[in-house]
Amino acid sequence: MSDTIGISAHLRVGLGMVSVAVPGAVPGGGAAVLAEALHDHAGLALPDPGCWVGDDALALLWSAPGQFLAVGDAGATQRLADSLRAQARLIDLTGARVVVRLSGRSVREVLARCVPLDLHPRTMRPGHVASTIAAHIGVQIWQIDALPSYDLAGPISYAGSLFRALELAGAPVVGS
Amino acid sequence: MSHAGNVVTGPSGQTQRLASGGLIDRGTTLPFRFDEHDLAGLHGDTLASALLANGVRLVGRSFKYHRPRGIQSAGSEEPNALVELRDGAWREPNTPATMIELFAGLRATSQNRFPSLRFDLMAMNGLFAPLLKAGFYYKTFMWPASFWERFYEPLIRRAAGLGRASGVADPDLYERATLFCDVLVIGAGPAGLAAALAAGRRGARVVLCDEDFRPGGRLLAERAVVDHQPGVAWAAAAEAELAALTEVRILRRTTVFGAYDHGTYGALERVADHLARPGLPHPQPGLPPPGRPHPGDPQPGDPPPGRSQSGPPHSGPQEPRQRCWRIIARRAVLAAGATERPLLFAGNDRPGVMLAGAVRAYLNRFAVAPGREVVIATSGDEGWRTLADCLHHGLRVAAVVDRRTDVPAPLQALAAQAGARLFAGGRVTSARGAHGLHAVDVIDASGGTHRVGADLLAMAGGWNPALALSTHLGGKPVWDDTASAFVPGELPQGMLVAGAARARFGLADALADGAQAGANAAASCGFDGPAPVPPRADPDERAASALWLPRVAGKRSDDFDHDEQGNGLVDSQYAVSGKAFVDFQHDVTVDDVTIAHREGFRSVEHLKRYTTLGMATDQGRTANVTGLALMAALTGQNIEQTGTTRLRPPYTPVAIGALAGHDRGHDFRPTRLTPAHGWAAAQGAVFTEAGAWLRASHFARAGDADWQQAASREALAVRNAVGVCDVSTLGKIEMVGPDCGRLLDRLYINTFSSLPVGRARYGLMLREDGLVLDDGTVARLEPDRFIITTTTANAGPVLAHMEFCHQVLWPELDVHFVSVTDRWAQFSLAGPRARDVLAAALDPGCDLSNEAFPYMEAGTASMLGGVGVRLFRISFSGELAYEIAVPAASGEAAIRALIQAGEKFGILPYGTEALGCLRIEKGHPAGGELNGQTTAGDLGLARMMSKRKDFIGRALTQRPALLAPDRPSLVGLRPVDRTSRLRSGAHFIAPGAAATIANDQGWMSSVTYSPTLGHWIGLGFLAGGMARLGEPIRACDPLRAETVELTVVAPCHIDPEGARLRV
Repeated sequence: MSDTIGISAHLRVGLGMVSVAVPGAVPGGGAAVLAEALHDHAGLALPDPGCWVGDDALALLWSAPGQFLAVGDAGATQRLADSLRAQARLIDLTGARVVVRLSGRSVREVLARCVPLDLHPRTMRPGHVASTIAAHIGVQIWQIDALPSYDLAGPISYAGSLFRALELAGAPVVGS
Repeated sequence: MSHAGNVVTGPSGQTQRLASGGLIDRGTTLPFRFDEHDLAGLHGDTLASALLANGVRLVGRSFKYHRPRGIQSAGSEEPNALVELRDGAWREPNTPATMIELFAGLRATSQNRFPSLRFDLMAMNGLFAPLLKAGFYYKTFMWPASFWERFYEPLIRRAAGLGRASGVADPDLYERATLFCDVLVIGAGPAGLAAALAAGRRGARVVLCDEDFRPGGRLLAERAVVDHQPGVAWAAAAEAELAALTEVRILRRTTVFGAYDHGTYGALERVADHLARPGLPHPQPGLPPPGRPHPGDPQPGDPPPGRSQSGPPHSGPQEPRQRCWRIIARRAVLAAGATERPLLFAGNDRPGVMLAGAVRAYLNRFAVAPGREVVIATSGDEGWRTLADCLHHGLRVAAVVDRRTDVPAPLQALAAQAGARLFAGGRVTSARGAHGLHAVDVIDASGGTHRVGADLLAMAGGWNPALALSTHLGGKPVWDDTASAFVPGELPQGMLVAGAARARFGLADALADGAQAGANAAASCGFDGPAPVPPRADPDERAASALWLPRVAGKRSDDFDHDEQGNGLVDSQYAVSGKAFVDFQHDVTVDDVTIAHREGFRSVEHLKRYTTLGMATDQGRTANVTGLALMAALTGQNIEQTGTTRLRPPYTPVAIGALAGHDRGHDFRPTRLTPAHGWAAAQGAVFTEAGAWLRASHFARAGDADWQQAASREALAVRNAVGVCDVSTLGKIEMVGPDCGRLLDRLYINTFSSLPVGRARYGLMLREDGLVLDDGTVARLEPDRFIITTTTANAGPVLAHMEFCHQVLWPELDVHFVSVTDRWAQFSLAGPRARDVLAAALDPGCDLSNEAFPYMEAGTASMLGGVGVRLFRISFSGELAYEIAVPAASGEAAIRALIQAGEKFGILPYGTEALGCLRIEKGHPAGGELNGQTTAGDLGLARMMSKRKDFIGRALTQRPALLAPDRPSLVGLRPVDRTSRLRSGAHFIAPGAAATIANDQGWMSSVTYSPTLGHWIGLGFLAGGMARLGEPIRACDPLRAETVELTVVAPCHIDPEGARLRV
């Protein structure tokens, strides 16, 4: 979809996904060990609650206390998982979620129709991530840049309904 | 001041249009149709102002008496001028003409009349008025009781009601959206604009909503001066400034209809109601149009009359008709203004009797003269403003009837100057004229009666603050004696009230109040700044007067004499004879209130329900306060003691479609599809809903007599050859960490810490109360990695249960688990040839022999040339079976590979019907048995409960009732007559016993036709259970009047030794 109407919505394909959890009891230690290993192997810091770090190639999203979701190129997430085997509890989620990249000046208007979250730049900025619902579907949304661009991830089994909701909201997903 | 001759020189047909003035575009004539009349109005008109401009005074018929009604107000409180809009599927009843923004091609129809508006047969109801008074249907239709359903109710339903719904699916599009702000300003009148400016200038995120299509509120209706410019110009400048502030959003045509918890507000934006056709163009530049309607949605064949007349049928992307906003505001400023009170006199509902403020709105805003010869009835200073405006626009004022005996001298002079008769201390007793006012009867202070010719009667009874939103969360309005009005009491969290909504009726007062409220609201959101400088306006304090209040002069109600007709109760000095309406929309009169009082319905809540006062679509906005003031007068209490009824959302009616938004038809709720869904659909699968999932129930083939034939074919394939079933919908939870075994031991009744790596085990989970939560298999993939399966229906609840246990009960356990349901496509390959098919489908080199990969083994393999899969040798069907978990992305390829590999073995895909048949044959519990009421013992699994460990639900399984020997437990059932069909839900009754609840011995939980056995079989819960094997029992189905003779058998009907599993 061209940017002349203020929004583009693209399916991100070929993504790997791994759930990464701090080892030990909750709440517990292990975070420092994991943070160090993460820094050594991927050059990433452990993201604060409500935040994510990294880039399109490899991003680490805070998901819950002590839990993170690594999203990126399948190879990169696999390498991350391999390198953290001793320092993290890992569960492969590759293929479990569909990720849509929404971008353009009308994105917030469109998302207001399906996500009950305040996306205003005073509240949500690049580097922020949130878990919420879109059209009754549990999703994670994280802001990529100030254009603004967001990634929206939902269960792959709900992909059709999620795309439909985005289409009704004014953002038909290209590649779906 | 007077512009004589201003009247009746408007465009052709618009005989009542003033020659100049008004916020209308005289260059844009809009043709429209009302009933059979083709009329024209101007851009900027409402339907009400356009009708008045055309001299149309009779607009509708009333609810009960079918009285002729005209236009009373100029706002959303309108109780009389309700019309039907559009037609066909688009027909919508009961829209106030005052709220309809005129567009070219608008089609409106008067309601509640037959055959025509002017001649209405049902108006005869007026002759039977004594029968139709308050509570009439409780009394009149009491006897005989048997007549109620057959005769009275249909009769009442036919006679009652306003307007007609279209009766077909709503063809319009709606959407819902969420909006966040620091300060929500409700109402864009002087107080609201001042509040929005004060908050917006400080940088707060402001949303300003107004139900009108033009911001300004009363400034549009009055000749006011603000900051040395006309009020209209000031409002336009304020709007322009607000529009230029990036953090301010103005929502026109948007009614905030409800206040909800935590600063949440519901608002309805009428996006396209003012357009001839819905959709196009989008009001926000750059915003793409939303999607097309779903192909499956109801699409009427005919284009909508009214919307499509000016163009071809519409296709392509559409703008929604209405948008329902959920606004989350840190602070809200309620600046909704006030609603003027009507006065009580006979015939106060005649067309031509209008609220005084509405008269000013029609004169000043719409340049329409609602009449030529005016009488003004007022309880205070308020009506005199209307006098001034009538004179300004060249109308003749015949008389002013002021309830006050001491009318201020300047006003007396004004009356004299206008040549109007002044009745100080007088009152209107009757408005005359059936289809339109032609005279007003007045009684003067000394009791003399006068008849004054007039075609317009403006009544000014003071104002009621529009405080509904302040009460939605339970706040009670409080009576303000000074203002002679209810004002908001305890407010919802975060709400401030400003201006007329809290009885700051003067313009200067309202502006200052609004500015201060806006600044305060912003400040409490962290936006500080200099104190706001309120816009300047001349002080226009108007003395509020309590003289609008109905009085019962000098008497307590209990010793009041009333005549047989119930007349004379109100203000004995000036008896009301004839119908004086309190609630215009619901035809509730002064008489009705007095009857309610006389018959003991004196609490305002009883009054409301007995008379239906305030229960119409306008929620009694012009009626409630008058009605309860009347009751206060009758009971001798003051208004405060009398109290108010509760106002509830919505403030104005909201279409159900707007609340539903996109959630309708196929989009009613989201649907989950398995990775192989597309493949199944292509194979002729008929899908059934399982929660949000769509699952193949069976694969239909041409020539099948019914679904059962397909299910039997599929089940036989599994028993005799091989079948494959998509079981991706089963919940899958992966768990890692050193404490997995410990947690699983506590979650399940049986032990998992001892499960060897590479093995799977069936497990049963209880709730804390000892009843079964769910069952499934658990496999240990690595020493610290398990995979748990749940039933499809309980995947969510089980995960939530596990999260609760881990997060709350045992956070010290070192485990991590997430749902991997979506990560894997999973297929059950079952049947004697399953091993052959799997061997052919997997990449070479996998040893599937019974020795290498025995029953209940779990492991990994690869297929499709290197795709890693998980293998489980588990079986629900009782046959040699494998479950293959394939990465979701490869799910469709995997099912194709399995089918291809199985072709030479006669493989068939099977659906949930065959699945159910196979598991009932094996006696495995499923939905009908795991129904939240059964224990492990009921299911025959008591021995699975470990005695060497604790687990959730253990303690409460020991309750006596759960251990009672006669508690129904699982058995199998077979019909004695093998041709009999069994029904689940049938109850078990001993042979010879009557089919009564006292003799109930249990129930049938699942049935199937077993193609292998050639007859129906069932599972059920029978008192005494397995101790009764071989006994006869009857299954009684009183709903179908069926009784089937049964024999009690073991639940497992086929291969009870499980030999077929282990081959």
